[in-house]
Amino acid sequence: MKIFLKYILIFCCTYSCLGQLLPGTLYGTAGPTYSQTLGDLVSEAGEDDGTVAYETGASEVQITYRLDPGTLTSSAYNCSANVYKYKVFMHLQNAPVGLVLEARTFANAGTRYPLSISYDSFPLIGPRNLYPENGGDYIILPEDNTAAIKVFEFIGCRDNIPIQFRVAASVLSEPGVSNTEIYYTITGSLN
Amino acid sequence: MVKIICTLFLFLCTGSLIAQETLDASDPSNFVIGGAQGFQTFSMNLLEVQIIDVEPEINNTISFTVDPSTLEAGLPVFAGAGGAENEDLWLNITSRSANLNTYNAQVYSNQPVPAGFEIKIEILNNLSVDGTGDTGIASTSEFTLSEVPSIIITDIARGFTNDGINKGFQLRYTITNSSGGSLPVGFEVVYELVLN
Repeated sequence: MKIFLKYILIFCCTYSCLGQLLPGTLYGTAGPTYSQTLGDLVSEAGEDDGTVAYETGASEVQITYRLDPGTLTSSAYNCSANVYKYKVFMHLQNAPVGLVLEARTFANAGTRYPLSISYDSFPLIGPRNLYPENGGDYIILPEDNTAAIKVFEFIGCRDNIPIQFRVAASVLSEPGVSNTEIYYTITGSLN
Repeated sequence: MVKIICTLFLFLCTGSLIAQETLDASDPSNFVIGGAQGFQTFSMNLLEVQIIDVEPEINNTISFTVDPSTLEAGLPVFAGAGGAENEDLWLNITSRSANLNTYNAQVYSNQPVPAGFEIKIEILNNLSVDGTGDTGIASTSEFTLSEVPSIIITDIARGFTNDGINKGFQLRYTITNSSGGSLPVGFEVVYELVLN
């Protein structure tokens, strides 16, 4: 009987910590911008302009991921009662020819949402931290929505995750203004 | 032996497992439950660029060889039939042009070529050796250098030849100097890219 109760207790605890996969919303600041200056331009004839790379500020661009509020529950409540691992995949659309855009974030960047919850004292699937891929080094973003690349993952809802970009544009890229969509696709899972 | 094969197998498996994880983000079923998708716009403003140089750098002084069979006693060294030739120099180009604009490469001298002197320039390869994109089409005709620009490469749009000798367009200079004079101080051969 004791063993039976123990199993029920573990089950209830697991359920209350993991809950169920609920719909969430991704919030973001404005996207990165890059306006090339003469100092950024290739200066040696014969070389490609892509040999010169430009980095955005480390926290110029941020994203936030929170579970949506329910009819009777707040977003904070849902994020506290439904802790899952979220993987973030990125890809580009409408990028000009010759653009190489890389992205990265940093170990445990951003903040937990809510800041402290009961899950933190019994982190079933790990602490609510952020884990960058590639050791936090830059990852080239593909212009292929069927093969979006994983850039980082985090456990639980998370606010203000900084994304840093590095851009290199070949001379094959059209001069003037271009707009490229940077897509973030977040998937929730247990592993 | 079995152990080695097993170890090798595990190694190969590990290698394939640590490859960067990807996702079909075009399939909503991958993210509608327990996930999300959104995008930001990356705005970029790139400048046009057109640069050309002569390699090797920094010192691209050249020397000329003479075919001994053309030497004639009593005449200057470079006065022989066919003159003296040099093929050591290469043109490198980088260009990012707007819309469908194309550029031409032209050559001229910054001072009059002295009387008795004749400097001919020829590009030996029609298309760039190495490089990427539209780096232009060279005329392989011989041009006589003067203060009036001669167009030597056309249709340069967006591309680069790569940097250094044996990249881009190889130049042949042919000099005939029937008077035995010297080029004036500050005499330069100028290459430039101009909008077509």
